[in-house]
Order: sequence, then structure tokens, then C-alpha cells
Amino acid sequence: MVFSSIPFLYYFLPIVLLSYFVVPKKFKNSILLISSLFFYFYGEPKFILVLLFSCVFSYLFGKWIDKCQVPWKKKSLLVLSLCINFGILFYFKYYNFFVSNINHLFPDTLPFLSIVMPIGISFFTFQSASYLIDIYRKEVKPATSIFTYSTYLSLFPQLIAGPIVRYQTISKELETRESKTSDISNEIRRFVLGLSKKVMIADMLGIFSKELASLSSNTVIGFWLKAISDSLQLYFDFSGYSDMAIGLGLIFGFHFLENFNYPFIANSITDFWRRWHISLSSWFRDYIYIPLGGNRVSKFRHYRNILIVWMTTGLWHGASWNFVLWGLYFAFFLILEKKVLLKFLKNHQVFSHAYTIFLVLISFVIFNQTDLSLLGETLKGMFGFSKIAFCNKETLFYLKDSIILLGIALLFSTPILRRGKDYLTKWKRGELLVGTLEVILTLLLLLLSTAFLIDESFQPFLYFRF
Amino acid sequence: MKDKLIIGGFCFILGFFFLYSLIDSDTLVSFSERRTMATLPKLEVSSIPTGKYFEKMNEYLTDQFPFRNQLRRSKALFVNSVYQKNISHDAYRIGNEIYQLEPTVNEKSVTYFTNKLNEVADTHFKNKKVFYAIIPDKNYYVEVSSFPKMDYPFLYQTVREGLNKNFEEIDLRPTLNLDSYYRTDLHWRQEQLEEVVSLLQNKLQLEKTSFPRKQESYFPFYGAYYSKSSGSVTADTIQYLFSGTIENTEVYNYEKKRMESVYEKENLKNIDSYDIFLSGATPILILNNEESSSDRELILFRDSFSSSLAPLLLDNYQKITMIDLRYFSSKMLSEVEEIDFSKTNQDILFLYSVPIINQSFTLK
Repeated sequence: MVFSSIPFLYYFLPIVLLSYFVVPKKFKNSILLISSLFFYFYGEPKFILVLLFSCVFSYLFGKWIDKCQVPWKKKSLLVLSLCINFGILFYFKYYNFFVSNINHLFPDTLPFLSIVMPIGISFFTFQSASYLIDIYRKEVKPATSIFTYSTYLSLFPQLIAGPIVRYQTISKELETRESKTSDISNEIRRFVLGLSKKVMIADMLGIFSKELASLSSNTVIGFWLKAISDSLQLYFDFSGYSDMAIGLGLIFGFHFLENFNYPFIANSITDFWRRWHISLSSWFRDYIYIPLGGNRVSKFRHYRNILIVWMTTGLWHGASWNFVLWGLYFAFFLILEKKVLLKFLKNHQVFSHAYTIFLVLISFVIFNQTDLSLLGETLKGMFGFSKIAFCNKETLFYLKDSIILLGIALLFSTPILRRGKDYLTKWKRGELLVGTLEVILTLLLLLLSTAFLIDESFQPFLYFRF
Repeated sequence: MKDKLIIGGFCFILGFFFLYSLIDSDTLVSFSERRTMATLPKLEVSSIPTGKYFEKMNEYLTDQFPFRNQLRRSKALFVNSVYQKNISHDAYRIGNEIYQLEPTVNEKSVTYFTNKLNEVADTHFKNKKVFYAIIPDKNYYVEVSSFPKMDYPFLYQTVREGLNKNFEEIDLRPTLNLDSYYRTDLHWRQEQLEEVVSLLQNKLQLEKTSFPRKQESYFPFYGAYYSKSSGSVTADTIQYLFSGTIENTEVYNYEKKRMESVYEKENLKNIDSYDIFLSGATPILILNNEESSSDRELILFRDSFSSSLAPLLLDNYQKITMIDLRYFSSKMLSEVEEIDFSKTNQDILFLYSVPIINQSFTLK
């Protein structure tokens, strides 16, 4: 089931909300667990077993790791549990990719398998891993019961497309939490805003991208417009989902950490990764980069650490070489910035923004093109190295039709409106105006998003495939 | 207060649509969307693990959502007025008219089309003169300078060069204009075909006949493009013309093995009201005009455009055989008892529209 669907919004959500707020406190987690398992079962019936296995397995190993007092045994238990967790992820996500590369080197060595990847497996595997490592490090106590842990791992607001919520972030709230009226109101707004970002902007940009991809003859401007549209679509799609997840979480009393912070206003690639998919980059920082030594090692090992982290970050996004290339691309610029560029970028604001936007656009071209031979063609087209026109009538026709949409998307990708709102709320009348507008817009956007959902064909979230 | 209004409004909207959908009866057919709507799926144990049951449930709940048409119109209004977008579901809106965007000539398809026509002509009409005419789609006549049109001269030239020498072209382009087509559909309007009929009579050396003036009409006709506009344009009106010949002609439907009328008025209530003309999509039809003073026959290889044109040629022919190669293989034609290509009193015409030529792989 997806958030941006009629069954979720108008059937699942009302029933869950009603049940949750009607039952006594001691049953609230049960309502969340049952509804979360149904939420997953509705979208991926047969893979519910994978999720349940992950719940039981990680809970038991968490207990054993915590109880074990012998260091080498404790470490062995952690390694074993991580191997099994990542082994399952490897089987579903990377097996055929691995086989294709092995067979490329040694033809017909291994057979391909018909494997469908369970939705959200990358997210819940990483959550399980962080839980086990945190217990090993004694940063968190194991869950008090299998039901508490299963409620955490399967919690439907963050189950299938993140953000990656660590157990330690919500462990206390799993035991006791409150839902305040002001929190609920704010998070309803957050949820509706996220829904609107997904269906009213991201999906519309997706259509624009498809139009540009099917031009009867490609143009340089067409390639660039597609790169811009794809990047904005990915941002609005994923940040919209995160907004919905965070909003829903808080309605039920869980405080998830932020996942996006206006990444397109970043002034360096380093800054960009502090603003984009924050839960993933902080996961890699805390569980791979720092354990490898981080930056407190020799220069060579420091750069090696960066390369490992970004190669695995790339691979996390998909079993394809373009994702590895995408990760290494960022690794290269992060090293370059650390070595020479950061000081220069800090002193040249306009250039630093242009530089970051340019590199991020190129990165998403790599991200979106799983066929590396076509990637070359696209990049050549973007930089005028193909024998294509700079622009043509058809490109302009589609641009004209979507230019306001692009403008709105660009506006909402910056904090201009939020700053305007903060400015207005300094005055009492401004506060009243903003408050009134918030009520009207929240309800209007909910109805309009419903209208978009009804009219558009089903469009899954882009981050599902991860 | 603000918090209570947001929570109250949110719960009201969710609760209202949830409860309304429970008491509202299901819609079986949506004429404005030209499709049957999903019905409540049957719960079968085998369909649950595969996820098919839930997929069908998604379709059902979305299709049967209360105020579906009004919500679709609201979306169209928002997209048109705020985003200023005129493209919706690959269709372009100009005022009250909808056009399917198809700016690319599919060369492989055009070649397949000419090869198919050559194959049919070589098999059945060796050394006979055969005519062909291309029916331009309505995009051809759009005068908005930014509108992306396909390369029509290239398409016409590719067809011309691909066909054998015994094919003679009839160029219909000067006889049509934008008004010749429905606003919400790809087809031409029967009442606008006077010049087309006149040109065909001239090229096929037929006697000039009077164009029927008696007509009936039907509203609303939701054309194929109407649903793409999400209801932001008004529906069309179908007009169908009568003459003594049309009323007296009997139509033999080869597939159904029965006699029918030229206009089956019951079909106006079909999802596609254009089916009124010669019962819509049918492999082989034989129109018998027993009262004709002419002994000539017409063999017409055709697509759906000809359904509204053929009745207007009845005064010139004793018999019109209409063959739709999308539904009947050309290799099987010699096995149809009702068809005899060996006669000498036959005109042979291949009449195909641009959308079919550009997606001709359906021709068998």
C-alpha cells in the first residue's frame, strides 16, 4: 500500500486513526503493529514472511548480544546476525547483479534466479542492523518484547520508503508517548503538504520528463530540461514521502528525525549531503565511515574510507553499475572539496551554488540511467557533442506547457515561502493571516490531491525500488 | 482554534468520503471515461499471495470513489488555470477541442503498411488498377504555430514510394478541414464529408449523386479523447445522415452471420457512440443495395473512418464489401465464400487514416 493512494487515504487511514485514538493506551501499540503488518501485507502479501522473519530474528539476536558477556562471542553474534540480515538483502537485491558480473568474466558460471525484491527491504534491513550494532555498542537497551520490536521495525509510516529510523530515536516513545492537539494539527499539515508534493508536483514533473524523453528528435535544451525535471521530481517524490512519514509518525506520537533540508540551496557537495536523505548519510557515517576510522587516520586511509562509504551508498540505491558510478562521482567531489575547494566555495557564494546545482544535476543524470552506454549519449547530448539541434519547436512546445509547473517546483525547493511565513508571523495580524491560510490551504490541498489521485494512473514512489 | 479546525476538517473530509463510499451504489460504466468501471473483486485464496486481489481492490476503490467525475474536473480546472497546462494524458487542448499528440512518423510502421497493401494487391488484384487514399488526422489542420505536427510530407512520400505502380493516389487533404472532425474524437463527421464523396466519385469515375440532407443527432457523444481532458471540454454531438438508399440497404455482418442496418441506433448507448455507423469494429461487412441502378461493386479495405463514409457511397454501388484487416487476416480472404475478387465490375479502394498507418502492425 502506498500513502498516495485512495485505499490508504480514505479507507486504511480513517480506520487506523479511529481505532488508535479510541482504544486505551495499553492497546495502542497492538493497533499499530496489526495495522502495519496489514499495510505491508496489502502491498506485498508473500513477503510479509521476510518482514516477520527480520522482526523475530533481530529481536532474538539483540537479546543474545545484550546478554552475552564474552567479548569474542558477543562480536561473533553481531557478525553472524549482520551477515544473515545483509545476506537476505544480498539475495533479494544483488544476487542477479552479482551473477551477471561473474558470468561476464566467466561465461555461464552461475544461474540467474527469478527474484522479486520485497518493498522496503533496504530500509528495514538497515534499521535492524543499526539496532543490533547499537545494542553491541551498549548505546541502546534491547526492546522489552518481540511485540515492541516488531512495532518499531514494521511501523507503517516509515516501513517502505524511510526515513531510516533508528531504534534509539523512538525507543522511549515505543513505551510511552503522547499525541498533543497542536502536534497533531502541525503533522496533519505536514502530511498533506507531503502528499501534495508527491501527487501535485512530483508526478506532474514525471509526466514532463516522459514527454521530454519521447521527443521525436533530441535537443541540447531538451536534455537539460529533463535533467532538471528528473532532479526536482526525485526531490519532491522522496521529500514528499518523508514529510508524510514524519507527519504520520508524530500523529501517533513518534518523533522521527528530518530527512531533507532544502538540498538545492546547498553551496557545496558536502553541504548537499547534509541536506539530502539525511537518515541514510548519517547511517553510513555512524556505522561505516567512523568505524573505518573516519578522518582520524592517514590521508590515504581517509580517502579510502570515503570511497568505500560512497561506493556502498551508491550500491544501496540499486544493483547496477550506474549507482556505483554515482556514489564514486560524489566521493570524488567530496575529496576534492576537502582537499582544495571548500575554502574557495565559502568565499564565492554565487559560484558555489551554481557549482553545486550543476554537479547535482549531472549526478541525477547518472542516477537515472541504468544503461551506461545511454548515459554516455545523454551526457554528450547535454554538452553539445552529439549532432543534435540546440533547441526545436517541439522542445519549446513542451517547455511552454510545463514552465509554470517548473517555476512552482523551483520555488518550493527553496525556503523562500517558509521565510516569508516566518516574517509574517512576527506580527499579530500576519499570524492571523498565516493561520487562516494554513487551515484553508491544508484542506484545499487534501481535496486537490485526492482529485489528482483519482485522475492520474497509479504512480509508485520512486524510492520503493531501493 | 486553528489546530481544531485543521484536525476537524481533516477528519471530516476523510470520514465523509469513507462513509459516502459505503452507502453509494457502484457505477458499472463510465461513458465520460469510455470504459467499464472495476467491480468488487471476488475473494479467492489463490489471488491473495500473488497480490492480485489487493491490486483489484485498489482499482475498485479508486474507480468507485464518490464524486469521481467532479474530482477529475476539479483537477483539470486546477491544472489548466494554475499550471496553465494544456497537455493532459498525451492529449492537447485548444479551447474546446482535444488533439492526440503524435509528432513522430513511425517509419517502420509506414513501411509495414505499404508492404501489407502491396501483398494484398499482388495476391488478389494483380494487374488491376487500385486506388488508395490517406485520411489525415485532425492535427494536420491545426494552425497553432507551436503545435508539434508529424512530418506529413515525409509520411505521404514514404507511402507513395512504398506502394506498387498499380496504386493510384487520391489526395483527400484539400477536401477536409478542422470542422470535418469531432472536437473530442479522432474521427471525421459524416455530415462534413460532401467534398470527400465528391472527390471519390470524380476519381473513381462515378456518377455525381446528391448529398443526403436528412439527419438525426445524438448528444452526448464522448469521443476517444474526451476522457483525456478529464471533462474540461463539452461533449460532441453525433449527426447521422439518411437517404432512401441508406434506409433500404441491408448489411451482412460476416462475423455475426446476420443482417443489420446501416445505422444501429442501439449502439448510440455503447461506450463508443460512433458504433452507430455500421456497428463499429467488424472484420467484414457487405452492404447490399438491391435497388441500385448500377451494377458496380466497391471493395473497400478500411479502418473505422470508413464506417461513416461508406453509407454515402451507396447510391453509386450495388454492393460494397468492407474489409478491416485489423480483425481479419489478408491470408484468409480467399476462403471467404461471400467475397469474389475476380469480377471485372469492381473498384478497389484502400482507405486508411494516418493514426492507423503510423501504428499499422495491427494489420494482419
